[in-house]
Amino acid sequence: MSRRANPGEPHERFDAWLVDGGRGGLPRDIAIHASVCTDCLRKAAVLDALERLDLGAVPLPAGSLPIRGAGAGPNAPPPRAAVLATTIAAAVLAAVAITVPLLQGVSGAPAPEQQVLGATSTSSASALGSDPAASASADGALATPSGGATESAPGTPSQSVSPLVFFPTPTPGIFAPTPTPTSSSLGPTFSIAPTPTPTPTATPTPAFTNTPTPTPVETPTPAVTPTPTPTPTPTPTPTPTPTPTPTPTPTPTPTPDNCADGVDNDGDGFIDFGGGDTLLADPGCLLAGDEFAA
Amino acid sequence: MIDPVTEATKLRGAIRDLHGARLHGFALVLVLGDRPAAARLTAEAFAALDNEAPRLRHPERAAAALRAEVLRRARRIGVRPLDQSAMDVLGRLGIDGPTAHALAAMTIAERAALIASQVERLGDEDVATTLAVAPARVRRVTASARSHYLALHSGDADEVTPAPGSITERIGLAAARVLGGKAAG
Repeated sequence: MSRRANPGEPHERFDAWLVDGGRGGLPRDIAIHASVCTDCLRKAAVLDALERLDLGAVPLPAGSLPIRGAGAGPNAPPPRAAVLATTIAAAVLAAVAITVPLLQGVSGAPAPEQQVLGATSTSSASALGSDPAASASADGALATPSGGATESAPGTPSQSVSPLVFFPTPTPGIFAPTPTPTSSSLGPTFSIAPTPTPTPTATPTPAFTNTPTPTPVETPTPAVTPTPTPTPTPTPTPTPTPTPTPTPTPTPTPTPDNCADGVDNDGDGFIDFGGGDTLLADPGCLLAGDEFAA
Repeated sequence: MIDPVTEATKLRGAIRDLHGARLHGFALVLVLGDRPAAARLTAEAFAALDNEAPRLRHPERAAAALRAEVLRRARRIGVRPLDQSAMDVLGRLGIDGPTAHALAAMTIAERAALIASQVERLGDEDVATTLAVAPARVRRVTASARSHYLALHSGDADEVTPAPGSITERIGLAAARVLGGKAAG
Protein backbone atom coordinates (compact mmCIF):
# COMPACT_ATOMS: atom_id res chain seq x y z
CA MET A 1 0.00 0.00 0.00
CA SER A 2 2.39 2.62 -1.14
CA ARG A 3 1.13 6.08 -1.58
CA ARG A 4 3.07 8.84 -3.15
CA ALA A 5 3.73 11.65 -0.75
CA ASN A 6 2.07 14.74 -2.02
CA PRO A 7 1.56 17.43 0.58
CA GLY A 8 -1.33 18.79 -1.38
CA GLU A 9 -3.37 15.63 -1.31
CA PRO A 10 -5.99 15.19 1.40
CA HIS A 11 -4.39 12.02 2.66
CA GLU A 12 -1.03 13.65 3.33
CA ARG A 13 -2.70 16.69 4.78
CA PHE A 14 -4.68 14.49 7.11
CA ASP A 15 -1.48 12.76 8.19
CA ALA A 16 0.12 16.12 8.87
CA TRP A 17 -2.91 17.24 10.86
CA LEU A 18 -2.95 14.02 12.83
CA VAL A 19 0.72 13.97 13.81
CA ASP A 20 0.48 17.61 14.75
CA GLY A 21 -1.87 16.57 17.51
CA GLY A 22 -5.08 17.58 15.73
CA ARG A 23 -4.45 21.23 16.38
CA GLY A 24 -7.03 23.51 14.93
CA GLY A 25 -10.10 22.53 13.05
CA LEU A 26 -10.22 19.78 10.50
CA PRO A 27 -10.64 21.21 6.98
CA ARG A 28 -13.74 20.06 5.23
CA ASP A 29 -12.10 18.25 2.36
CA ILE A 30 -9.78 16.41 4.71
CA ALA A 31 -12.69 15.45 6.92
CA ILE A 32 -14.56 14.04 3.96
CA HIS A 33 -11.52 12.11 2.84
CA ALA A 34 -10.66 10.76 6.26
CA SER A 35 -14.20 9.65 6.99
CA VAL A 36 -14.04 7.20 4.14
CA CYS A 37 -10.31 6.41 4.23
CA THR A 38 -9.66 3.18 6.08
CA ASP A 39 -6.00 3.99 6.60
CA CYS A 40 -6.81 7.43 8.00
CA LEU A 41 -9.41 6.06 10.38
CA ARG A 42 -7.03 3.39 11.50
CA LYS A 43 -4.32 5.89 12.33
CA ALA A 44 -6.80 8.04 14.18
CA ALA A 45 -7.96 5.04 16.16
CA VAL A 46 -4.38 4.10 17.02
CA LEU A 47 -3.80 7.52 18.54
CA ASP A 48 -7.22 7.41 20.15
CA ALA A 49 -6.19 4.25 21.95
CA LEU A 50 -3.53 6.20 23.80
CA GLU A 51 -6.15 8.40 25.37
CA ARG A 52 -7.64 5.40 27.11
CA LEU A 53 -4.48 4.49 28.92
CA ASP A 54 -4.81 4.66 32.68
CA LEU A 55 -1.41 5.64 33.96
CA GLY A 56 -2.54 5.41 37.55
CA ALA A 57 -3.75 1.84 37.30
CA VAL A 58 -0.60 0.27 38.71
CA PRO A 59 -0.13 1.32 42.31
CA LEU A 60 3.21 2.28 43.64
CA PRO A 61 4.91 -0.25 45.86
CA ALA A 62 4.12 0.42 49.48
CA GLY A 63 6.58 2.69 51.18
CA SER A 64 8.35 3.72 48.02
CA LEU A 65 7.56 7.38 48.51
CA PRO A 66 8.69 8.30 51.99
CA ILE A 67 8.26 11.91 52.87
CA ARG A 68 11.50 13.31 54.06
CA GLY A 69 11.51 14.52 57.59
CA ALA A 70 11.57 18.03 58.84
CA GLY A 71 15.30 17.97 59.13
CA ALA A 72 15.72 17.12 55.49
CA GLY A 73 14.34 20.26 54.06
CA PRO A 74 15.30 21.98 50.87
CA ASN A 75 18.50 23.19 52.44
CA ALA A 76 19.60 19.80 53.62
CA PRO A 77 22.94 18.71 52.23
CA PRO A 78 22.73 16.16 49.48
CA PRO A 79 23.39 12.59 50.52
CA ARG A 80 26.36 12.45 48.17
CA ALA A 81 28.20 14.97 50.33
CA ALA A 82 27.50 12.96 53.42
CA VAL A 83 28.82 9.83 51.79
CA LEU A 84 31.94 11.65 50.66
CA ALA A 85 32.56 13.05 54.11
CA THR A 86 32.12 9.66 55.68
CA THR A 87 34.46 8.11 53.16
CA ILE A 88 37.16 10.66 53.90
CA ALA A 89 36.74 10.11 57.61
CA ALA A 90 37.00 6.38 57.12
CA ALA A 91 40.16 6.85 55.08
CA VAL A 92 41.76 8.88 57.83
CA LEU A 93 40.79 6.35 60.46
CA ALA A 94 42.05 3.49 58.34
CA ALA A 95 45.34 5.29 57.84
CA VAL A 96 45.71 5.64 61.57
CA ALA A 97 44.85 2.01 62.08
CA ILE A 98 47.56 1.03 59.64
CA THR A 99 50.21 3.45 60.76
CA VAL A 100 50.19 2.70 64.47
CA PRO A 101 50.87 -1.03 64.17
CA LEU A 102 53.48 -0.22 61.55
CA LEU A 103 55.32 2.05 63.92
CA GLN A 104 55.04 -0.46 66.70
CA GLY A 105 56.49 -3.26 64.69
CA VAL A 106 59.53 -1.54 63.19
CA SER A 107 61.94 -2.76 65.82
CA GLY A 108 60.51 -6.20 66.42
CA ALA A 109 61.66 -9.60 65.26
CA PRO A 110 60.06 -11.07 62.15
CA ALA A 111 57.26 -13.49 62.66
CA PRO A 112 56.14 -15.06 59.39
CA GLU A 113 52.66 -15.87 60.54
CA GLN A 114 52.02 -12.23 61.37
CA GLN A 115 52.77 -10.72 58.01
CA VAL A 116 49.15 -9.89 57.39
CA LEU A 117 48.52 -7.76 60.41
CA GLY A 118 47.60 -10.73 62.51
CA ALA A 119 44.80 -11.94 60.35
CA THR A 120 46.02 -15.46 60.75
CA SER A 121 44.46 -17.50 63.42
CA THR A 122 47.61 -19.33 64.31
CA SER A 123 48.73 -16.86 66.87
CA SER A 124 46.24 -16.30 69.57
CA ALA A 125 47.81 -13.07 70.65
CA SER A 126 48.65 -11.57 67.31
CA ALA A 127 48.17 -7.89 67.01
CA LEU A 128 44.77 -7.04 65.66
CA GLY A 129 44.08 -10.69 65.30
CA SER A 130 42.00 -11.16 68.34
CA ASP A 131 39.20 -9.08 66.98
CA PRO A 132 37.82 -10.64 63.82
CA ALA A 133 36.16 -7.46 62.70
CA ALA A 134 39.31 -5.47 63.17
CA SER A 135 41.50 -7.92 61.34
CA ALA A 136 39.07 -8.12 58.47
CA SER A 137 38.92 -4.39 58.14
CA ALA A 138 42.66 -4.12 58.11
CA ASP A 139 42.84 -6.69 55.36
CA GLY A 140 40.35 -4.83 53.30
CA ALA A 141 42.15 -1.57 53.74
CA LEU A 142 45.43 -2.99 52.64
CA ALA A 143 43.98 -5.10 49.87
CA THR A 144 46.70 -7.62 50.35
CA PRO A 145 45.93 -10.72 48.35
CA SER A 146 48.02 -12.92 50.54
CA GLY A 147 46.61 -11.39 53.62
CA GLY A 148 43.14 -12.39 52.67
CA ALA A 149 44.11 -16.01 52.40
CA THR A 150 43.30 -16.66 55.96
CA GLU A 151 40.29 -18.15 57.51
CA SER A 152 39.03 -14.95 59.02
CA ALA A 153 39.24 -12.75 55.96
CA PRO A 154 36.61 -14.06 53.51
CA GLY A 155 33.07 -13.07 54.12
CA THR A 156 33.91 -10.38 56.56
CA PRO A 157 32.73 -6.81 56.14
CA SER A 158 35.93 -5.80 54.48
CA GLN A 159 34.03 -4.43 51.50
CA SER A 160 33.10 -1.38 53.44
CA VAL A 161 36.73 -0.38 53.64
CA SER A 162 37.80 -1.66 50.27
CA PRO A 163 37.61 1.77 48.56
CA LEU A 164 40.55 2.77 50.68
CA VAL A 165 43.01 0.76 48.73
CA PHE A 166 45.39 3.59 48.09
CA PHE A 167 47.75 2.29 50.71
CA PRO A 168 50.75 0.49 49.32
CA THR A 169 50.74 -3.23 49.61
CA PRO A 170 52.78 -4.02 52.65
CA THR A 171 55.87 -6.00 52.16
CA PRO A 172 56.49 -8.75 54.63
CA GLY A 173 59.45 -6.91 56.01
CA ILE A 174 57.34 -4.04 57.17
CA PHE A 175 54.66 -5.85 59.01
CA ALA A 176 56.48 -8.97 59.97
CA PRO A 177 58.74 -7.68 62.69
CA THR A 178 55.98 -7.45 65.20
CA PRO A 179 57.29 -9.45 68.10
CA THR A 180 55.26 -12.06 69.74
CA PRO A 181 52.89 -9.74 71.46
CA THR A 182 52.12 -9.91 75.05
CA SER A 183 48.96 -8.78 76.66
CA SER A 184 50.53 -5.45 77.45
CA SER A 185 51.42 -4.78 73.82
CA LEU A 186 47.84 -5.24 72.77
CA GLY A 187 46.66 -2.20 74.59
CA PRO A 188 47.16 0.54 72.03
CA THR A 189 46.25 -1.75 69.18
CA PHE A 190 42.86 -2.55 70.52
CA SER A 191 42.08 1.01 71.19
CA ILE A 192 42.43 1.65 67.47
CA ALA A 193 41.09 -1.55 66.08
CA PRO A 194 37.41 -0.56 66.03
CA THR A 195 38.12 2.49 63.94
CA PRO A 196 37.40 0.95 60.52
CA THR A 197 34.01 -0.22 61.63
CA PRO A 198 32.24 3.16 61.32
CA THR A 199 32.30 2.77 57.56
CA PRO A 200 29.22 0.54 57.39
CA THR A 201 27.23 3.39 58.83
CA ALA A 202 27.92 5.33 55.67
CA THR A 203 25.83 3.01 53.57
CA PRO A 204 22.43 4.67 53.47
CA THR A 205 20.64 1.57 52.37
CA PRO A 206 17.82 0.67 54.68
CA ALA A 207 18.90 -2.93 54.46
CA PHE A 208 21.90 -2.23 56.59
CA THR A 209 21.76 -4.47 59.54
CA ASN A 210 24.49 -5.65 61.69
CA THR A 211 22.39 -8.38 63.11
CA PRO A 212 24.20 -11.62 62.55
CA THR A 213 21.04 -13.53 61.77
CA PRO A 214 21.12 -14.43 58.10
CA THR A 215 17.62 -13.18 57.44
CA PRO A 216 17.18 -12.59 53.72
CA VAL A 217 17.13 -8.90 52.99
CA GLU A 218 14.99 -7.75 50.10
CA THR A 219 17.66 -5.63 48.52
CA PRO A 220 20.94 -7.04 49.63
CA THR A 221 23.84 -4.77 49.26
CA PRO A 222 27.34 -6.07 48.88
CA ALA A 223 28.38 -4.35 52.05
CA VAL A 224 25.90 -6.23 54.11
CA THR A 225 25.36 -9.65 52.69
CA PRO A 226 28.76 -11.13 53.27
CA THR A 227 28.58 -10.63 56.97
CA PRO A 228 28.73 -14.13 58.31
CA THR A 229 27.30 -15.23 61.52
CA PRO A 230 29.94 -14.37 64.00
CA THR A 231 30.91 -17.78 65.13
CA PRO A 232 32.68 -17.76 68.37
CA THR A 233 36.33 -17.49 67.72
CA PRO A 234 38.74 -19.40 69.90
CA THR A 235 40.16 -16.16 71.18
CA PRO A 236 37.52 -14.15 72.99
CA THR A 237 37.45 -10.54 71.98
CA PRO A 238 38.75 -8.40 74.80
CA THR A 239 36.60 -5.51 73.73
CA PRO A 240 32.97 -5.80 72.77
CA THR A 241 32.38 -5.36 69.09
CA PRO A 242 30.98 -1.90 68.35
CA THR A 243 27.95 -3.24 66.58
CA PRO A 244 24.83 -1.48 67.77
CA THR A 245 22.82 -4.65 67.98
CA PRO A 246 23.65 -7.39 70.38
CA THR A 247 25.65 -10.05 68.71
CA PRO A 248 26.00 -13.58 69.88
CA THR A 249 29.73 -13.24 70.00
CA PRO A 250 30.91 -14.60 73.30
CA THR A 251 31.30 -11.84 75.74
CA PRO A 252 34.75 -11.79 77.23
CA THR A 253 34.69 -13.53 80.50
CA PRO A 254 36.75 -11.48 82.85
CA THR A 255 39.65 -13.46 84.12
CA PRO A 256 39.86 -13.12 87.89
CA ASP A 257 42.71 -11.10 89.14
CA ASN A 258 45.15 -13.47 90.71
CA CYS A 259 45.95 -10.81 93.24
CA ALA A 260 42.39 -10.71 94.47
CA ASP A 261 41.22 -14.29 94.30
CA GLY A 262 42.29 -15.33 97.74
CA VAL A 263 44.52 -18.06 96.34
CA ASP A 264 48.24 -18.45 96.52
CA ASN A 265 48.56 -18.80 92.77
CA ASP A 266 52.33 -19.02 92.53
CA GLY A 267 52.74 -21.14 95.63
CA ASP A 268 55.26 -18.91 97.30
CA GLY A 269 53.43 -18.75 100.56
CA PHE A 270 52.06 -15.26 99.97
CA ILE A 271 48.67 -14.27 98.77
CA ASP A 272 47.09 -11.32 96.98
CA PHE A 273 47.60 -7.68 97.81
CA GLY A 274 46.67 -7.76 101.42
CA GLY A 275 47.43 -11.35 102.20
CA GLY A 276 44.91 -13.73 103.59
CA ASP A 277 43.95 -14.47 107.10
CA THR A 278 47.10 -16.39 107.72
CA LEU A 279 49.43 -15.39 104.90
CA LEU A 280 51.30 -12.23 104.03
CA ALA A 281 50.78 -10.09 100.96
CA ASP A 282 52.37 -11.47 97.83
CA PRO A 283 55.26 -9.24 96.75
CA GLY A 284 54.38 -9.87 93.14
CA CYS A 285 51.07 -8.20 93.69
CA LEU A 286 52.64 -5.32 95.51
CA LEU A 287 55.26 -4.71 92.82
CA ALA A 288 53.62 -5.63 89.55
CA GLY A 289 50.03 -6.54 90.29
CA ASP A 290 50.67 -10.19 89.44
CA GLU A 291 51.45 -12.94 91.89
CA PHE A 292 53.68 -14.60 89.37
CA ALA A 293 55.78 -11.51 88.91
CA ALA A 294 57.86 -12.03 92.00
CA MET B 1 1.37 30.04 64.14
CA ILE B 2 2.30 28.36 60.89
CA ASP B 3 5.38 26.24 61.00
CA PRO B 4 7.09 26.52 57.63
CA VAL B 5 8.73 23.14 57.98
CA THR B 6 5.43 21.47 58.72
CA GLU B 7 3.79 23.27 55.85
CA ALA B 8 6.53 22.18 53.48
CA THR B 9 6.15 18.61 54.65
CA LYS B 10 2.42 18.79 54.07
CA LEU B 11 3.00 20.21 50.63
CA ARG B 12 5.36 17.41 49.78
CA GLY B 13 2.83 14.89 50.95
CA ALA B 14 0.12 16.52 48.89
CA ILE B 15 2.31 16.51 45.80
CA ARG B 16 3.04 12.85 46.29
CA ASP B 17 -0.62 12.04 46.68
CA LEU B 18 -1.51 14.10 43.65
CA HIS B 19 1.18 13.01 41.26
CA GLY B 20 2.48 9.72 42.64
CA ALA B 21 0.34 7.21 40.80
CA ARG B 22 0.39 8.86 37.39
CA LEU B 23 4.06 9.68 37.63
CA HIS B 24 4.67 6.04 38.36
CA GLY B 25 2.62 5.14 35.29
CA PHE B 26 4.63 7.57 33.22
CA ALA B 27 7.82 5.96 34.49
CA LEU B 28 6.43 2.50 33.77
CA VAL B 29 5.87 3.39 30.13
CA LEU B 30 9.33 4.89 29.83
CA VAL B 31 11.03 1.79 31.22
CA LEU B 32 8.58 -0.54 29.50
CA GLY B 33 6.93 -2.16 32.49
CA ASP B 34 9.97 -2.55 34.70
CA ARG B 35 8.27 -2.03 38.04
CA PRO B 36 11.33 -1.83 40.31
CA ALA B 37 12.97 0.66 37.99
CA ALA B 38 9.79 2.71 37.71
CA ALA B 39 9.33 2.81 41.46
CA ARG B 40 12.90 3.89 41.95
CA LEU B 41 12.65 6.57 39.29
CA THR B 42 9.48 7.89 40.85
CA ALA B 43 10.96 8.03 44.32
CA GLU B 44 14.11 9.70 43.07
CA ALA B 45 12.12 12.26 41.14
CA PHE B 46 10.19 13.21 44.26
CA ALA B 47 13.39 13.37 46.27
CA ALA B 48 14.94 15.62 43.65
CA LEU B 49 11.93 17.88 43.75
CA ASP B 50 12.19 18.11 47.51
CA ASN B 51 15.63 19.61 47.15
CA GLU B 52 14.43 22.39 44.91
CA ALA B 53 12.33 24.82 46.84
CA PRO B 54 11.40 27.04 43.87
CA ARG B 55 9.61 24.19 42.21
CA LEU B 56 7.68 23.49 45.35
CA ARG B 57 6.43 27.07 45.27
CA HIS B 58 4.73 26.31 41.97
CA PRO B 59 2.96 23.01 42.46
CA GLU B 60 1.16 23.42 39.16
CA ARG B 61 4.51 23.07 37.46
CA ALA B 62 5.44 20.04 39.53
CA ALA B 63 3.98 17.55 37.05
CA ALA B 64 6.37 18.56 34.30
CA ALA B 65 9.31 18.91 36.67
CA LEU B 66 8.72 15.42 38.04
CA ARG B 67 8.42 13.92 34.59
CA ALA B 68 11.57 15.67 33.52
CA GLU B 69 13.40 14.09 36.45
CA VAL B 70 12.02 10.67 35.61
CA LEU B 71 13.05 11.02 31.98
CA ARG B 72 16.50 12.29 32.83
CA ARG B 73 17.17 9.41 35.18
CA ALA B 74 15.56 6.81 32.94
CA ARG B 75 17.92 7.78 30.16
CA ARG B 76 20.82 6.95 32.42
CA ILE B 77 19.68 3.56 33.64
CA GLY B 78 18.56 2.24 30.29
CA VAL B 79 15.57 0.06 29.52
CA ARG B 80 15.21 -3.67 29.69
CA PRO B 81 13.77 -5.47 26.69
CA LEU B 82 10.12 -6.36 26.81
CA ASP B 83 9.27 -9.66 28.43
CA GLN B 84 6.03 -11.25 29.48
CA SER B 85 6.00 -9.78 32.97
CA ALA B 86 6.58 -6.32 31.54
CA MET B 87 3.80 -6.88 29.04
CA ASP B 88 1.50 -7.83 31.90
CA VAL B 89 2.35 -4.66 33.76
CA LEU B 90 1.81 -2.53 30.68
CA GLY B 91 -1.43 -4.37 30.07
CA ARG B 92 -2.68 -3.15 33.41
CA LEU B 93 -2.16 0.37 32.14
CA GLY B 94 -4.29 -0.45 29.11
CA ILE B 95 -1.43 -0.94 26.69
CA ASP B 96 -2.05 -3.86 24.37
CA GLY B 97 0.58 -5.93 22.65
CA PRO B 98 0.93 -3.97 19.38
CA THR B 99 1.05 -0.71 21.27
CA ALA B 100 3.67 -2.09 23.66
CA HIS B 101 5.86 -3.25 20.81
CA ALA B 102 5.50 0.06 19.03
CA LEU B 103 6.46 1.89 22.20
CA ALA B 104 9.40 -0.42 22.70
CA ALA B 105 10.68 0.38 19.23
CA MET B 106 10.72 4.08 19.98
CA THR B 107 13.41 5.97 21.80
CA ILE B 108 12.81 6.83 25.40
CA ALA B 109 12.52 10.51 24.54
CA GLU B 110 9.93 9.73 21.88
CA ARG B 111 7.96 7.70 24.38
CA ALA B 112 8.09 10.57 26.81
CA ALA B 113 6.96 13.03 24.18
CA LEU B 114 4.13 10.79 23.08
CA ILE B 115 2.87 10.05 26.58
CA ALA B 116 3.19 13.61 27.83
CA SER B 117 1.38 15.11 24.87
CA GLN B 118 -1.02 12.42 23.73
CA VAL B 119 -1.86 10.59 26.94
CA GLU B 120 -1.36 13.14 29.67
CA ARG B 121 -2.38 16.07 27.51
CA LEU B 122 0.23 18.37 28.99
CA GLY B 123 0.56 21.79 27.45
CA ASP B 124 3.45 22.76 25.24
CA GLU B 125 5.25 24.49 28.08
CA ASP B 126 5.04 21.44 30.31
CA VAL B 127 6.05 19.12 27.49
CA ALA B 128 9.04 21.35 26.86
CA THR B 129 9.96 21.10 30.53
CA THR B 130 9.49 17.36 30.51
CA LEU B 131 11.65 16.85 27.45
CA ALA B 132 14.13 19.59 28.37
CA VAL B 133 13.75 21.24 24.98
CA ALA B 134 12.94 24.77 23.97
CA PRO B 135 9.21 25.49 23.77
CA ALA B 136 9.59 26.34 20.10
CA ARG B 137 10.71 22.79 19.40
CA VAL B 138 7.89 21.03 21.19
CA ARG B 139 5.55 20.92 18.27
CA ARG B 140 8.14 19.38 15.98
CA VAL B 141 9.35 16.89 18.56
CA THR B 142 5.90 15.66 19.48
CA ALA B 143 4.89 15.44 15.82
CA SER B 144 7.94 13.35 15.11
CA ALA B 145 7.11 11.04 17.99
CA ARG B 146 3.52 10.60 16.82
CA SER B 147 4.64 9.96 13.27
CA HIS B 148 7.12 7.33 14.37
CA TYR B 149 4.57 5.70 16.61
CA LEU B 150 2.00 5.55 13.83
CA ALA B 151 4.52 4.10 11.42
CA LEU B 152 5.48 1.42 13.95
CA HIS B 153 1.94 0.63 15.01
CA SER B 154 0.51 0.56 11.52
CA GLY B 155 3.17 -1.75 10.20
CA ASP B 156 1.13 -4.90 10.73
CA ALA B 157 -1.92 -4.90 8.52
CA ASP B 158 -3.43 -7.85 10.39
CA GLU B 159 -3.74 -5.97 13.63
CA VAL B 160 -7.13 -5.32 14.99
CA THR B 161 -8.10 -1.70 14.60
CA PRO B 162 -8.55 -0.08 17.99
CA ALA B 163 -11.88 1.28 19.01
CA PRO B 164 -12.55 4.83 17.85
CA GLY B 165 -11.98 7.70 20.20
CA SER B 166 -12.05 11.45 20.25
CA ILE B 167 -10.08 11.97 17.04
CA THR B 168 -12.28 9.59 15.14
CA GLU B 169 -15.33 11.32 16.51
CA ARG B 170 -13.99 14.68 15.38
CA ILE B 171 -13.52 13.32 11.88
CA GLY B 172 -17.02 11.95 11.84
CA LEU B 173 -18.55 15.13 13.16
CA ALA B 174 -16.64 17.29 10.68
CA ALA B 175 -17.65 15.05 7.79
CA ALA B 176 -21.25 14.98 8.95
CA ARG B 177 -21.34 18.77 9.09
CA VAL B 178 -20.02 18.97 5.55
CA LEU B 179 -22.36 16.38 4.21
CA GLY B 180 -25.28 17.73 6.23
CA GLY B 181 -24.60 21.23 5.00
CA LYS B 182 -24.51 19.98 1.44
CA ALA B 183 -27.71 18.04 1.96
CA ALA B 184 -29.34 21.06 3.52
CA GLY B 185 -28.14 23.31 0.72
